[in-house]
Amino acid sequence: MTKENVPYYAPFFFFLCMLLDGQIARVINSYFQHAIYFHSYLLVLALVFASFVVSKTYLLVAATIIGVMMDSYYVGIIGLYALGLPLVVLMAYFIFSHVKGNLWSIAMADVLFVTFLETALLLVHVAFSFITFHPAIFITRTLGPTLLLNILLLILLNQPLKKLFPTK
Amino acid sequence: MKKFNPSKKLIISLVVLIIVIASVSVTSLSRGKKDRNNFIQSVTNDTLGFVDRGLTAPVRWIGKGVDTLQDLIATYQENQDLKKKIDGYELLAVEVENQKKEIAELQEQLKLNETLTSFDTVTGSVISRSPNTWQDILIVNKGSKDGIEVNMPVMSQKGLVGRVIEVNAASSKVELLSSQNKNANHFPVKISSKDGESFGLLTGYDDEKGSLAITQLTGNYAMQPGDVVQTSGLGGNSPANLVIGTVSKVENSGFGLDRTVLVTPYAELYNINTVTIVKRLVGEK
Repeated sequence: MTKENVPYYAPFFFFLCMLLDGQIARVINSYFQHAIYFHSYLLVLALVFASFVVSKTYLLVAATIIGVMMDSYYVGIIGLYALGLPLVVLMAYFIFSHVKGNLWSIAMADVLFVTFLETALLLVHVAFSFITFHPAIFITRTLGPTLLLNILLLILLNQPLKKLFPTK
Repeated sequence: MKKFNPSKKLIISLVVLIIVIASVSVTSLSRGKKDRNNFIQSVTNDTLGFVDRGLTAPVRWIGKGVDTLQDLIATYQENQDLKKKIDGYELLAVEVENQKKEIAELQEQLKLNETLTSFDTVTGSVISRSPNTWQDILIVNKGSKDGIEVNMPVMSQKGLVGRVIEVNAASSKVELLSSQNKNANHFPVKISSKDGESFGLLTGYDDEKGSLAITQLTGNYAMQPGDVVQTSGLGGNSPANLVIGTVSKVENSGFGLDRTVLVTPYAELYNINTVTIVKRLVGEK
């Protein structure tokens, strides 16, 4: 796989990641009987690794389309992930134009992006008064476990993702 | 190098913000109101559902391996419990059979074919669950071509779990009772206690206790923990007598004028693999 081929298969991979996120979250959460919530964000990892390879415009468009599909399929309210994912892409380009992308910096960025997405999703839900929530419960029961899961995923998938999105 | 132009960026972000707010408002308002989803969303969701079905099988297979081990440990205790229960079963079966006959005869006399309790069912399997836990949503492989409509109640093997909120051609979304969604429709329910039946609305879910809450109760009948909660069939969407759970606690709320009843649901609201969608027969449009 070379750098030139990435734009051709990247959308299919994003698509797969999106569906896998749902399935992973479902299996893990049913195992923990919904006492705590793990949200998997393979898609965010894929977007970050892709941001080293493809152009900003390309990835922004891809993220928006995937975001709209995710909203339509999982929630039925369009505009949650459709806004969140492109913003993550913008942040990724901004951060990695200043910092070199290695495991450590990607892990830090991943923490930032996942926290941003989770919080943004929550705020949108609260702003449109879909839900009532308690901040302490959100941090301990959702954000903490979610960050843990995503760091684990990054450590596991760091090498395969590097191979899939080669910078040369 | 391009010059930084704040006004251009500001305009772009404002436009994006307006579009997003409009889109979220419109889609969230139309969800759960229309009988069928619009064509583009329906096709997108069905295509995604089709691909996702391929992923469900292997993922479930891995999950099953873990479950098997747990089952093995739980089997002994379960066996003991079941043995106790089965003693009274034979008698109950005969009794139910007799009563069924009697009800059929009485209905014939009344020339009553469809009552509030009669319903059709469609069984579907769960393709996926929304990773967004603020909206507790299942994606099910049955849609409008199987006769599914918005607002139909959904049961798992043991009891009521939620309602249909969006219908595509070949898939649909089910909102679980555990959803934190404040704008969801509420099930009208009845609580059968020793003194009589009280009616109310299933309005919320307590995440920590894992129990459902009933408010806006009518009547002053005393309720005991263990009393059975069922749908009442009032309100026109759900048939009567679908089981929901048992009363776990009765709380006086606010100024003591109203009571809140906490209900332990029969059905597990996690790990749902198959669902039964219930179609009410009486009062069809």
